[in-house]
Amino acid sequence: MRRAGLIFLLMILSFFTVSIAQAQKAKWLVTGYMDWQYSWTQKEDTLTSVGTFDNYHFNPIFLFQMQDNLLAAAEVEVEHGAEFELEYAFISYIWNDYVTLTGGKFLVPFGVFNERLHPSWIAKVPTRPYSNDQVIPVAWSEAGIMLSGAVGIAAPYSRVNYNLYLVNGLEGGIGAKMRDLRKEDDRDKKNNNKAVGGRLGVVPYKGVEIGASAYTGKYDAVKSPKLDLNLFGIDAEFHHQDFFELRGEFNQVDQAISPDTFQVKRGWYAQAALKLGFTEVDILNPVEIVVRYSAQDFGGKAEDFTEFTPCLNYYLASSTIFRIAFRLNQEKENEIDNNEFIFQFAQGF
Amino acid sequence: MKKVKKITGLVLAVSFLAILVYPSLVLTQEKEITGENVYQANCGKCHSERNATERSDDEWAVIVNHMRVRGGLTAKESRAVLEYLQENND
Repeated sequence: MRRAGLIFLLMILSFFTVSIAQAQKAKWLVTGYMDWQYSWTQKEDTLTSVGTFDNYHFNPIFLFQMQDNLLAAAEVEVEHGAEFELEYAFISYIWNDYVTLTGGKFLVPFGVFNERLHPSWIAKVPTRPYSNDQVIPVAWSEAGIMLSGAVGIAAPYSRVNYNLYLVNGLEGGIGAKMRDLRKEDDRDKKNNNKAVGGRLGVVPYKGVEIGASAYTGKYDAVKSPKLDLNLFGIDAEFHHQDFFELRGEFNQVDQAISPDTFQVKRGWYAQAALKLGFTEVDILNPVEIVVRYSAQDFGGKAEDFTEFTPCLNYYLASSTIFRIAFRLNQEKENEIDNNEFIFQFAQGF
Repeated sequence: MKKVKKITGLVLAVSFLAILVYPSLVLTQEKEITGENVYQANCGKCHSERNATERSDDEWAVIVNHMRVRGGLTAKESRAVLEYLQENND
């Protein structure tokens, strides 16, 4: 039923696209991305390693511009060849040079990975870091309204950008995992408490951005007392020309499991990427070397993990990438061999 | 893994210091933004730069407006990068 509904939605969006284009000469296009991968995972507990092909993502994105200052966007996500989701669908009104009003379902601007970096043709490593998987539940979208914009400061290329939103918010069982709190859009049928949040980013000079994010709301589904869910995050990135980048995020969740008791979940990652085009050796021009380290700390040892992933990317074109990655996973407790080898092909279109 | 942590920490510390001194050593004093530099400095932060010839004028107009909202660009920057892309997409 759900799949039929989303296929119907795709048809409606297509019809809407043609109708708008014809009737109002609006501008529109379809973009998106897709990827497939082969992953091989060690399974020490079963003494059997698992290798599998996966048509992981097919995500068409519909972009509309009804007027110069009125935009609409929608992305449908088809995962593993069978799971359909509406990742986002919103309308944005650019009120003036500094303020844009957005309404609908949108990617939450918490840090930058969730909103800007998670698509497979953009993320430089096939897997997600722990901080943006089990702590911030990427890909995380909310239904609500948002103010956003940017203001230039001081020198050229320096600016401050902001997002401020009011949304239904994450909701689920007491102490539930973060990924389990983001199901369905109409969560406030059970918990009539909205969540507020925002991000403030600063670009002090070309190539650097630093940001801080916060979110607060109630998350449990019982009538009373409602329990707090507070998130805090810091993100930073540095780029030198077009061939070196260093970025990272730190995210923390304070999740109440009783009125006086909080479960604290922390995660962070650091990633460096070097494109070999600076060598001016033809055969190395399309090659990029990436290393990433991420960790999650949930306060006990059972769910404290770290991972180190070296990855080699080969760019057939600017948005066509082959990747080979090896993810070394480590557990603080009950260590098992569960490392992963991943070969991925990703295409942005 | 402990060795990896130490190396990672050292790299991060050196990188942080480099970032602090980077502007005075490397950046030139530009007085005005250019669309090409905005495109390289902002679009290139997240993904590889797409060739301007990939899209028509109308398509770039749609994309840049959406990327202004997604990427947190100023109005001035988004106008500059749109002009640059539309001038170079022949």
